[in-house]
Amino acid sequence: MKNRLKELRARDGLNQTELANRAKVSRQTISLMERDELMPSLLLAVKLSRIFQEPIERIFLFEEDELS
Amino acid sequence: MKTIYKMLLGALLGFLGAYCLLAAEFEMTLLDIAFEATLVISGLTIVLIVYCFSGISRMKKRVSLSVSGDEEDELEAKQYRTFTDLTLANTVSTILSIIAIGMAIVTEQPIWLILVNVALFIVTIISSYVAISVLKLVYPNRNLPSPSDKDYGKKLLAISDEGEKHVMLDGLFHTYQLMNILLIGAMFILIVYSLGANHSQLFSIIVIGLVLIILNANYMFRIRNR
Repeated sequence: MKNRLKELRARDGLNQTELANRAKVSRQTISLMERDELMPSLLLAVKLSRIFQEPIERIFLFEEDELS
Repeated sequence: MKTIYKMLLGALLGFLGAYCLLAAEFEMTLLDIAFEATLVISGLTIVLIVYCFSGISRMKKRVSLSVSGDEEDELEAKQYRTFTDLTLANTVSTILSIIAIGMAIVTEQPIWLILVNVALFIVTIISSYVAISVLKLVYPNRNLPSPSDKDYGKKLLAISDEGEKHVMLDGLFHTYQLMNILLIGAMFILIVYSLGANHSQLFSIIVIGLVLIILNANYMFRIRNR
């Protein structure tokens, strides 16, 4: 799974700390997700989806074989 | 396969090491150098305490810095690294001070040396409280538990988010594996030492064995019924 967190952060002019504050998580969590070292919980994915005003599947990109 | 090679190499080196030590009939006693050794350990403890307090001071200074953008992220990462570094320094200094107290008492060193190390031990406990208090300054928005809270560890785990728990789990699992290897290694070293130096370390071997059994049983019972 890849994600577009870094790209979307840049689009909205947010740094990791600001995004973390909005999502009510630590900066460490955002950093881990951006480095593809952590798959977020459903709750966090929904929160990020609301923050970026993007559907979850446009933030977190799965390979077809990961979903089958 | 790599693990098997490593284990075989470890076993071979361990066997050769043990054979050499037994053949040499060595004797290692700390009695002759106990005073100097205690002084060195005390010195190291002081250095670590100074490092710890300097880290606390650096963290406090950074709290008042006003930064934005990527610099804010870098500052936050720096604060986190400083905190983990000083926590490690603090833990090591506490352990060293306990070793020094033990060494000074067992080898009947002057009373002032024992008192100095008791004082150092108390300072390391105080510095751990101060470090946790600084964490509250760094993260004012987080509902961090008080350092004096008897359930501090539990509450800290409860307020940690998924990323922090992921990092902790990774660190703890590797530490758990390493602890098993090191404690079993320590038991073998003590067995070899007991035979080679004719100083029975049976009590220490039993204590380490019990610690290993309790820790592993605790882990297994905790994961068993979940």
